[in-house]
Amino acid sequence: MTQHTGDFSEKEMMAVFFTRDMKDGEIVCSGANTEICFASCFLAQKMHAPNLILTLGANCFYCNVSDRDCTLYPSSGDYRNIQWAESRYQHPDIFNFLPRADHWFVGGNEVDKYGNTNMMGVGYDPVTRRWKFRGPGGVGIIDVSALVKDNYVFVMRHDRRTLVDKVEYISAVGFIDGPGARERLGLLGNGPRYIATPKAVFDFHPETKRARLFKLMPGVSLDWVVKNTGFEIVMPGGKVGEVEPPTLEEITILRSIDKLGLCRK
Amino acid sequence: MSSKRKEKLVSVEEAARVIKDGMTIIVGGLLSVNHSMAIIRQIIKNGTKDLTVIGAASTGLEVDLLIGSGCTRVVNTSYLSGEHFIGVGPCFRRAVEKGEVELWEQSEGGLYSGLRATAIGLPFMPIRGGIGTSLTELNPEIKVFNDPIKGEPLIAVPAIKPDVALIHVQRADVYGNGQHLGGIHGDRLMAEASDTVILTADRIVSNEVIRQNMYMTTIANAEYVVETPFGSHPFASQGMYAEDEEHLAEYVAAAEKHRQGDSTDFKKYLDKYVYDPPTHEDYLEVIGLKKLLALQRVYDYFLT
Repeated sequence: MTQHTGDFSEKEMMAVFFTRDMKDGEIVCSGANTEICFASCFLAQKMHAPNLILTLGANCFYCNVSDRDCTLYPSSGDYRNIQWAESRYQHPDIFNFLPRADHWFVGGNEVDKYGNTNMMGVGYDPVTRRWKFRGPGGVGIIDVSALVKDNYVFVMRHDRRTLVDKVEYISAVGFIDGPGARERLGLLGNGPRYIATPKAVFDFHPETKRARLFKLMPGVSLDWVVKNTGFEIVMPGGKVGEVEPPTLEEITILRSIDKLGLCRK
Repeated sequence: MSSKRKEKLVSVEEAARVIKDGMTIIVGGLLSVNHSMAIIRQIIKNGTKDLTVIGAASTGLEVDLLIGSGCTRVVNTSYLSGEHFIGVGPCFRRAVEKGEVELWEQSEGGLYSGLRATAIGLPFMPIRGGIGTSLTELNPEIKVFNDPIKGEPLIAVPAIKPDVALIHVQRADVYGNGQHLGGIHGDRLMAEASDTVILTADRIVSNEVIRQNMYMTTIANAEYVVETPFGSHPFASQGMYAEDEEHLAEYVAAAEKHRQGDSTDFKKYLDKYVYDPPTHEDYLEVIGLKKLLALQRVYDYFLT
């Protein structure tokens, strides 16, 4: 029987959730400052996907750690990640393989019910050209979201300011305003696959393209998620289950990678 | 007429004087690595004004400093972040929220496509990324058009043409050949699209060393070469030394207070690290030999 552990952090649970979704041989890409993303890829390479390739966007490395001990560093731009690399590219060349990449991690200050995310900011006044709040910017995710097979959307906060009905500005395209929008604009790929938060996971209805509650993270109540989500919660069949907690094997391997405890901070 | 090849080695001060008020400069590297910081500090010291600063595809705090010190009128970036130190560059955020600098909203693919357009002599390049986003609403100079082959909406990114590229490499010779000992990031394309390349190097080596490893030469024929040991500090120089986390935390704390309206610490930071040290070597003395050696050891020892 599989042994589970009750001792895990929200970040560890999110990483394990993504690991389980990855298939052997896929190409998965991660930008900067995203410990969950590369923790989940390294874990997948050591669990069931030894041929998965992790592309570290900020370092321009193709990484595989399936056969070696490794350490997770705070930034994917950390040069010490060269230890896990077996090939590199120039940064502009990343746009040469996006249409063949499987998943890209997409973050955001805001994410809406169609999986659009906003890293640009809120409250822009085109006359004064001032922002009320300015985020870091849309980065390469602007390009990525129009080109890769699908996106893993993730946010580190679950509240009504983060999960909103409609983002003020779209920096990464999800399903935009609903069915047919991506096709009409000629975008490649299937759009977002999941939205993962520390409290829940959403997937998307195949026809309406609306986010629906897929699973609660272990121990989180439906009531809490309804109260803290800024878009209407819909559930297939009116019921929702929990994500399976990390197994002892998953958490043991994950912590052997996360030697600095970044996912436990 | 002379048959002697032109040597391009200049001082930090001479190189920084190439950058005049109102010019467009592009800063190489990516996030917290490989920036020509000795030149950037000298630009600030010179009081250079009204620059259009194009950041790397993912821009780090080097451009945040150029904004906070008042040199910048327009910033062209798709992302300006201090990574795990701070999500948004504090001076960037302050300036954009107060309307003190103009933001040329951008995407990473857009930056590279705009540079490529210049490098190959086109007025624009088409890209798909950005279709369906707010990019064209926030930047009217980036336009949607219908592709004449398949009729799909695409984005036209106008050619981006920097006057000067600041590129930092680990070693270079006096003839303007530079070699990256780690990542190249977008540096080659930046150099190819710019009128003038100022190449800073942690070490100047002989032309024979460059020739022995000719396949490693990533930047060719730069107009100016500057010897700047530890010249990317407080950022990393890949293959030579790591970023100075303590220093970056000090910068971020001071800049964040500046954003919130108390500029005392930020002014102190500028005095201590930018204005007071007369030369780059004096700056390194302020940082201290022990610290610099420790940053070097991070890379020297990580494989053991």
